[in-house]
Amino acid sequence: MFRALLRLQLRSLLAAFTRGGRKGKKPSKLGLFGYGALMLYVVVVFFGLFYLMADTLCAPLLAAGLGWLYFALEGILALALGVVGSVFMTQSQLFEARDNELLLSMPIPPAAILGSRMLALYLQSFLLSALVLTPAFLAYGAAAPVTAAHAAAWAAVYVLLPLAILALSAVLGWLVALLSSRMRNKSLLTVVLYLVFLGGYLYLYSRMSHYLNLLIANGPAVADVVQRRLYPFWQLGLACLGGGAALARFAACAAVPFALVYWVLARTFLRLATTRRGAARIRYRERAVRPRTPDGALLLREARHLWGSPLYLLNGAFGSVCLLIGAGFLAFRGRTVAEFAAMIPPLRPWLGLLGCGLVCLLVGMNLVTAPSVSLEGRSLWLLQSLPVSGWQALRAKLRLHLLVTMPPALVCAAAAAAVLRTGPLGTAALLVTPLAFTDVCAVLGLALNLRMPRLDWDSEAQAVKRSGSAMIAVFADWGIVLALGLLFYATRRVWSPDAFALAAAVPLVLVSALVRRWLRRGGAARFQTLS
Amino acid sequence: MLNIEHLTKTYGDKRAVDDLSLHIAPGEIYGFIGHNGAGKTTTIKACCGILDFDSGEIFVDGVSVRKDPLRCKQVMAYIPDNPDLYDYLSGIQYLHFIADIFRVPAAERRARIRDYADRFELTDDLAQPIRAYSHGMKQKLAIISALIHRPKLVILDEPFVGLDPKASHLLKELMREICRDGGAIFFSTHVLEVAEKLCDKVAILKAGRLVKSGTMEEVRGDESLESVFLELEDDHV
Repeated sequence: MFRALLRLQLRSLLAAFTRGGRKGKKPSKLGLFGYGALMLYVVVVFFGLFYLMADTLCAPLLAAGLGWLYFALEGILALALGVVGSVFMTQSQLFEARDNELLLSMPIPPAAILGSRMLALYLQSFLLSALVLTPAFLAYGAAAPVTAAHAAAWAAVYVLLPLAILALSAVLGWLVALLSSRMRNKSLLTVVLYLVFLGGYLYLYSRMSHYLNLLIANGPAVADVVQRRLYPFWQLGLACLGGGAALARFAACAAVPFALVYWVLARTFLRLATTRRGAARIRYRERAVRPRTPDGALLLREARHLWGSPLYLLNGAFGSVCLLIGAGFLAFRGRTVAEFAAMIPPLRPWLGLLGCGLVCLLVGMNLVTAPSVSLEGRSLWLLQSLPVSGWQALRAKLRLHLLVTMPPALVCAAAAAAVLRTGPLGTAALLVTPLAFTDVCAVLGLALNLRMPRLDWDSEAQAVKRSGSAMIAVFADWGIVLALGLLFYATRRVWSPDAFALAAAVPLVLVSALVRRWLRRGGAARFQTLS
Repeated sequence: MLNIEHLTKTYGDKRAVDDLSLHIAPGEIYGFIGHNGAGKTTTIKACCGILDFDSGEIFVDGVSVRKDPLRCKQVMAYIPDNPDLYDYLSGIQYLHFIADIFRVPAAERRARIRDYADRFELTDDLAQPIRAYSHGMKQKLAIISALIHRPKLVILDEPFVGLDPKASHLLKELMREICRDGGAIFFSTHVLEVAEKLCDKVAILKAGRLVKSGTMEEVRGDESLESVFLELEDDHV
């Protein structure tokens, strides 16, 4: 029974790569190869980042005789990445999965359902922590000899640390689910919490070199704090150096909280998964309404969907949040940025192009259209049976993407132009090219999702976070920025950076027009017959 | 109102609907019965323009579903067997969305929402999100939304599943009202007693083929609809 449940979880986990839509069509070998290459690229980028950090930290701490502190710090980093990366997934997979009630109605012990879900989440935590631990072990291996005891201890840490991550994300996920179930606007709460988590992580990450220097300079003092306040990580550090007793103590520190969390959740899973606390009941009072056009109604429905779904809002509009944060930063710390730019005179002619590129990268993080067809899910019949054309339905999705992305992009671009004093051509490029790029992202995301819809999801996370179209869309968007950058490099003698940045809008508009043409015809017809 | 001419639909090698012809006139309640997998839902979806078919034609109020699906959808309403509605909207937001799509003027929609919601005892829950609704409440909301634009043709797939006896009774009354006003109803059901009491005409489908159709009297003769249905099922094995 447990194996069947686990198979179900793993199938769902891999569904983005093995099938699309309700008909369960398998993707081509080329498609699978593409997915594989994409995932490899992501892994290599993360590996590179974490290896650089580990390499900076390793040698000085080893020289100071604080090898254990090096591993303890890497362990803390892996735990933080794992928790930030999986807390909302844990919330949606454990407590809000749509098939919880169906499975609970079957003769399956709740503990088995919970166990199968947690094992799938464990695998995700394992992969996230491995992204930090593997480069850390490699960096150590490059700086000091590795014995069999080291290797055995590292293998154990690979297995044990995800247990601690899972325990912590399960508790935090439960808290988020509890809080959001009592709030009317749960999307807002989830977004705020996510931004707090991510903001904290990014703040620490951005200050990393400062902290690394502090660490290296004050190693013994930091080691003292870790020993006194962060006992499990102290033991983790000692274990990674081959300490058998420390490994046993760390194993207890990771496994006992996990077992405790699992035990409590297993005993209460039925209640947790089926209790609908909900916000206070709202009694209906008739109000005057202003009728909308069908197009207006479709757009409003899309907006309500985005606003009503925390995961969709987070993934769909995260780029907009970053653009607004960027604009705010430029508004309040513009002088620092301008002074920094002035310190490097050769940078001056490049500012417009660099600004454009940065704004476009942030624009590319918005994924409103990329999961929007999949999110219709089982209610797709509604749009198909109503007297609206497929193109009208798709156009509403495009319009929402543009509405959510263009104003913040424009504000950020205007702030960049004002702070960097980019000149007429650079300013025009900053104001025009990101808008053209926004349109490309919108149509490309929608086209990808029409080609790879996933309508049979049980949790929105499967449509939003684990869909091939969303993953490919973000890399395709960034790929376009990279390709344009390379194109400029190849033709840099032909035109100035600002002129290129403005001219880049032309191919973007052409690409957008081509994809839009397909959406109007083939895409709209495809949408009407999707099932 | 609804003319199905030689409709054929295949899924791979399987013929889900095979050369089916049916004619539903204004003022008629037409029942559509058959065993599971007989092709009822496929036929219904094809009539609603949400499923492409291989051959044949379907006309709604004289307009081809294939050639002008939007005009057909403008005058009809469809309620599926399991109405998955937009969970992220409240009941009233959903009703206004449907009314906006059908361009129902403000005064009329207000009056109709008030009338139908009161009759289905859903008024107090209209501000609640649909995700908080029970299956029956969703079914009621789907029915109200289907009627909000006064369709000429209402197509329902197993409409009585999940409704309480009072709501079932009310739906039957509404179906009769629509027909009295010149509309037509085409619905599938497994509840033969309901079909027998409610329908003017009935069609029995088996393995995608029409095995009997006509007025209720023509189809059942002196027997009950259930006996006729079971006999036909056995005859065509």
